[in-house]
Amino acid sequence: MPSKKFAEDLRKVGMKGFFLTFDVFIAAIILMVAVSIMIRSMNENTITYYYSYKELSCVSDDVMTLLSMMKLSELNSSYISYLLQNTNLTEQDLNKSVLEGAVLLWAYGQQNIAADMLGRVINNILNSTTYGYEIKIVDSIGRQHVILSRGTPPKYTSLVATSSRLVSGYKENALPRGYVARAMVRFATSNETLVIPIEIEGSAHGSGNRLIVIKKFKLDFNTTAILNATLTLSIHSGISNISANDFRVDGVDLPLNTSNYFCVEEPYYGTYACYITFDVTNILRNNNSEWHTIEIQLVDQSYNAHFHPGSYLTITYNKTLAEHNLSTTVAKKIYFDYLYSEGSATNPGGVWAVMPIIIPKGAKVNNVTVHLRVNGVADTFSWIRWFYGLDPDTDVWVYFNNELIYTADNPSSNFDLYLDLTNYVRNSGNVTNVLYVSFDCYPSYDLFWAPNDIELYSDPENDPNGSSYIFVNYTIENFSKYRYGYMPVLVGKEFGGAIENPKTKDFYFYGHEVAEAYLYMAQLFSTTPSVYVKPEGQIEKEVYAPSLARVVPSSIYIDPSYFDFSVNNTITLEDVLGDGVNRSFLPRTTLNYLIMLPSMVPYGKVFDTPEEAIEDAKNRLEKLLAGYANIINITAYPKSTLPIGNIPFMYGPVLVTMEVWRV
Amino acid sequence: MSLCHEDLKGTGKSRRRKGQVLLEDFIMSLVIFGVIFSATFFAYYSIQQSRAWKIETTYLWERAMNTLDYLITSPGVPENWNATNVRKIGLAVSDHVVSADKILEMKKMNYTTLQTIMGVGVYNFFLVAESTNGTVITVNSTPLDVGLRPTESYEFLLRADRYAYCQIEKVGEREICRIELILWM
Repeated sequence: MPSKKFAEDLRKVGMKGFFLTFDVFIAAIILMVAVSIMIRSMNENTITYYYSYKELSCVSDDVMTLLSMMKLSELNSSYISYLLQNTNLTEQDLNKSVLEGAVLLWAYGQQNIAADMLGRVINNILNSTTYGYEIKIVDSIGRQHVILSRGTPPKYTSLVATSSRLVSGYKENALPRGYVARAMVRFATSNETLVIPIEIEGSAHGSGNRLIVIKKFKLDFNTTAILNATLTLSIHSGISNISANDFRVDGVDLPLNTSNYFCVEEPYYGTYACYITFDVTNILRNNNSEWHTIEIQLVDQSYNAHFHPGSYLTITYNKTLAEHNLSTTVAKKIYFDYLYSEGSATNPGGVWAVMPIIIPKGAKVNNVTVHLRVNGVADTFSWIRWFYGLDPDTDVWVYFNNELIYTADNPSSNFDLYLDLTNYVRNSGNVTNVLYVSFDCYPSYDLFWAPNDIELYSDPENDPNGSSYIFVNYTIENFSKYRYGYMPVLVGKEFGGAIENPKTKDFYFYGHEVAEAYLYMAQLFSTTPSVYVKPEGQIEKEVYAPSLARVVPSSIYIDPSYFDFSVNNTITLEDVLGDGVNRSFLPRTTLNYLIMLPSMVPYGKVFDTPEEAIEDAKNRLEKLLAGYANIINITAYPKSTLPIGNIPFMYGPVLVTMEVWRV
Repeated sequence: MSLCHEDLKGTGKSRRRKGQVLLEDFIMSLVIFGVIFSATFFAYYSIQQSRAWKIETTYLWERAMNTLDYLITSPGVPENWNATNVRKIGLAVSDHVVSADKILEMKKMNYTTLQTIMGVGVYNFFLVAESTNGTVITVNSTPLDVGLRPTESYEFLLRADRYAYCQIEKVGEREICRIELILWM
């Protein structure tokens, strides 16, 4: 700035309006910087607003679309039960979308529950630290009702994106006011059937040698509740004199008589396969201890003594029904049966077993391990094995399905092995897998070479960790839908009918959901049995085909997704034909399935009196559980309905609007 | 200072020098002009550069959003395409229902081919389907993601996401998921 004196001087010399360059310079710089900053900031804001709006617009549209698509039945099962119990929604409404359900609740005057329901879904999608939102219903005369909001809307409307859907509907046959009732099972019983399989296993080779099999199993209910217990055995011990064998349950001898078995000859070797049935109801009923034992002693004559599909104990008992959550994580040990095979230098033996490894469809496999403990394994070398295309030095074989995954050429006499099968199971993608283990024998070629006694060790009662077992750990998210309001019951149904191949049987589940289903086939001879399921009016699907001939597991898992619970489901079993060996399926073939019975019925029709509503609720519950449960006591809860206008009453059309902004 | 007291007071000789340019004033004005011109040019250039980057980003972001929109609303061409016959990639079974099988099918494809079909140009891309809890959805332990995951040393990265249903056909289940597309280089 010019000094005062200098300005005086200028006036004196008459230079008015003289232009000072330095001042101009400073002013120009300031102006330029200010303009630059302004332009820059304006530019950035424009872009940011553009991004935000377009993104928010997509978010609001996505959420409204999902709310329109998601069915009420897809909500958490416990929340569905809550809705059915505490609102005027009925089971028929579960087919409606969440958006329609919210509007229906709003129409019923249950706005808080509508808000809660929408909040559960939307808060699961939109992060609360990123987005705020508001849901409004605009009724047919233009009034706005804020149903739900989260966060404070921004000052500028340009930062809020909106998406809308039109919703309308009507409720049929609803009385203007009256009473509804729901009913719950208070006390009911059912006949549950447990199937305990004896695995496909065997050996003891040569005249007079014995194979001893011990199956230990635990019963976690009072055995006095047992109504029926039947043990059936499908054995192929190569003898014509079946009475040389010995059978016991809980130490009690099971006598053979002419009416409880029949045998069929196998023409190639002149050996016999026999099917034996024992009624062991009283033996088990009279022994109320936790652990029980099946002991079988088979005396071999030629070939080798072993079991065919169809060896299992079925126990039907009376069970008090209770709500039970199915765990989404399954971790269990499936124990091998104890096998003891006699052998000598002149009559060598060995042991072998086939175990199923079942992973339900869609389950995430966490861990599968097998522990094998075998005592008396012989380390031998034989060119005969080489002649059959086998390694002449190998004494131990482990197959996973049709893949050889482990061999041992120089096994220790006290063989102890842990094998991680996790990746094999994951990669197979099968529901029913098979693990086949063989020690000092290769039965497919009738080769046996243990010159001494050999045992596959298993004692789950006294030595659970030291026994031979398969550990299975998987997670099945599908079971999360059975967390509330279900009473699981194991149902066992025999195929019945004739001895035939192929064999079919229709199963109808009365609309109830089946969580698991295991098929226990019964055959005298078995080669490659396949299983097919055909729901009525739909195409037939193959659910099981063996990966190796004659390596058939004791049980086969039929994933419930193959069934249609509302129609007849035909299960067909088929094995190969020809060559004179009878591979028919026996009537004893059993489907053992876990059915999920609902423990309650929701509110139903509207009645003039609470008594009528209660009677209707009880009838509905009894009808629902008929055939599966013996209901002893029901509690019913009536309530007065809301006044809801004309019949049928209409709600909507209303506009549901969602506003979304960034917090 | 370009103005001199002595010159203004002046003698008769100096008064006769009318219309003459003062050399000091000229040089000073040239300097000032130069500074102002440079500053203005720099500011203009900076704004232009910033605008160009924004336009490029906006263009890419719009492309990412359009791609995502097509992915979640259209089945692609042909409708039941696979890794060998795909002409245009769409993931939808129906509007806002994404097929997990189609993402798994994308994983079988060559990355460069995918880049071309997705139309992301020279940019790398990474497409992932996440559950609402933020974990990547898996089918039989295979994660539903495809493309190149951004490295830590990226120069440029842009994220765009949409919400839809992810449907796992083999299990017959569906869940709400977030489909995210990341473009980066």
